[in-house]
Amino acid sequence: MPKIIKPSIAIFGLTSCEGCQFSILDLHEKFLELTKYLDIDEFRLIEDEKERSHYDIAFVEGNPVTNDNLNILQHIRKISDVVVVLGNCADLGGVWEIKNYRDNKKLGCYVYKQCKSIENRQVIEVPKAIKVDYVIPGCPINAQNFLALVYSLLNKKQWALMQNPVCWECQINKNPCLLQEGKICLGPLAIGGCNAVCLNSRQECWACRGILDQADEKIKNLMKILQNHGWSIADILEKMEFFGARDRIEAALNINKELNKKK
Amino acid sequence: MSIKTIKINHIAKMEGHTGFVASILDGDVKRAKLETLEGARLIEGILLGRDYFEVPMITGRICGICPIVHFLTATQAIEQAFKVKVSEQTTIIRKIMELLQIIHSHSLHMFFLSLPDFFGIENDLKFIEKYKKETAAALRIRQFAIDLVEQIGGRVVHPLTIEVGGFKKLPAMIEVQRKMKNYNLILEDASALVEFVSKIKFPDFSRKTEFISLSDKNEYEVLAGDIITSSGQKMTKEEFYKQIKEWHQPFEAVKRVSFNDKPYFLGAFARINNNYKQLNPQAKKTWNELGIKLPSYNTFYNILAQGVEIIHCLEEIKRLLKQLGKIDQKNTKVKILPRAGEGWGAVEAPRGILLDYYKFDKNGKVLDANIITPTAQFLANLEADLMVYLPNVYKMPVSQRRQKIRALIRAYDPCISCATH
Repeated sequence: MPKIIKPSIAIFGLTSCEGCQFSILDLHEKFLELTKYLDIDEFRLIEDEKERSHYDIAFVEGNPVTNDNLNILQHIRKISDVVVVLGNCADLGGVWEIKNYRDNKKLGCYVYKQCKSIENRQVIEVPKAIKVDYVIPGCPINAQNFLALVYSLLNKKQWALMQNPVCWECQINKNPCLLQEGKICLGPLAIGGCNAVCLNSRQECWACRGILDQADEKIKNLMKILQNHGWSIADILEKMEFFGARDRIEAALNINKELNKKK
Repeated sequence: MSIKTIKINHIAKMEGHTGFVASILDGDVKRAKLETLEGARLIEGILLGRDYFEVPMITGRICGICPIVHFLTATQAIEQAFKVKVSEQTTIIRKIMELLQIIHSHSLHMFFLSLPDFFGIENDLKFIEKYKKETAAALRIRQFAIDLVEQIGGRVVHPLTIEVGGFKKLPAMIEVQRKMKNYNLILEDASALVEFVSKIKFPDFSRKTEFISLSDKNEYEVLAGDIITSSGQKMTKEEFYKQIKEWHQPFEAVKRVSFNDKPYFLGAFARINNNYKQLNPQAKKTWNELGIKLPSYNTFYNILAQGVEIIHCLEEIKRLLKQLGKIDQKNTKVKILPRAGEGWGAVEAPRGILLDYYKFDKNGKVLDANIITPTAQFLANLEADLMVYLPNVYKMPVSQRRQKIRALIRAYDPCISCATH
């Protein structure tokens, strides 16, 4: 019988909480089943590290916060055919992107006494550092999206998320509308595919999965609705730092980021 | 004179990234140090100026394996600062969440991350292949816990329902009860796993240290209560916070902590050493059968302690659900009015006490924040253990020596993402 060559995949973690990797691990049996179809050659949650010269698919979780991280990231790109970004940190900067909107050095010295010796880079999104083939968004990812992508690639098919807003799934789930209650909810703008998991628990959507393509008009409309509920643009932008949606909203509203930078 | 350096660049199968380096001079260990490779995220820094309700959401994202404990600790500190008293319902459900957190983290760590070390197997998939029955039991336990976390918290990684004052939404109790139908099977699985782990020949190792844990006169405390040390000191979380010393060495994104200028141990083994008497009946019986006399200072037993705690936590959840069934089923969350003040939170994470401190202005915006994770607290103790342990292993062949060193480090269940926040 001819030996079946299985695609080689790698899951790398840069600086992050590793929650997206755990979301994959939490698939338990479904995750183990994957190993029938592909070789998991790099996944440090299950094995001590090995070094390979090539991967068919590399998944990258986390953010390049150190020079080491950045070098690893560039190396991964070089030796992998397909690079998939895993989760909000890699995709949009993660919660710590907030430090880009503050005086980064001051924050460093607030946290560390010997702050001069601490590497304290600005947070950059992985797609801005290297070319990325696919993005699985979210904080954390929806592991079902991960499975769908892997099986698509195994069948040599392209994969893309539907450009449906979170609102769509939220309404199917018959949740009460938090936007109508006056809360900052980005459901109408945010990329769905998460089953509106936050709203199912009455947590408003802050667009951890990113904002839909070509949504500038929708962004402006939503900002007007929120302003009518009494929120200032500054309030909204501050909340939108949380999952990295702020720059996209600023771009739609033509706001210059530097002018708004807090000291 | 001979100087020998032992270096391991990356230690996998742990939360976060770390390496290890030691220097040995003429057979004497001069230095044993964990070098964290995680980038600085400046979590305390980015908290400054944010609204109180964002705090747990941000600190929860320190760690993907123990977000529940970060949520609960921050929430507890904020409630102290705002002088909020939550309902009995909230306290019980939070306790259940924390017990579930301990179960799912322990079952992952004990079985998948630490145990293969004692069998000399480096790849988990090979370990799983070899021990199918035990793997199935470990996965069933973990699945039971994460299903319940999802039911109560809305999501496993970064749960959603926990908030300051109570729960955004209560779980559907009928679903919770449905999951509990597997309780007896899961309890059997847990006992079987402890028996499996107990057959390991653990390294003969002992270094006297201080065990620190939460304590309460009525129960095996995980969520509130005072703090006790194995040498008999008792204090509030505030006093503990003031008595520990946190220090930072240049070029390191992790801080270290000492109590009375000495390293100390936290986590499952510390809790059992300190609070053995309050273990639930079956957990206590299981511990007794292991025949380990307390106090015991063999750190490798931490994974046995984790196994026994899984049993304890299961029994405790059953008891708490019964209690919950007897009280008001309406959501009794408390309305929050921010006020200027400061507060502390101390909760038993799977790997030991997580300690948070926050100060707020009158609008509930953060003025000051400090998060002291269990890994940061026990790091100095782990290094002290390694100093004592290395002479036993340093003459072994490189690969075997590496395995032994990694086994001790992993037995602590360190979480480097947490330590480097």
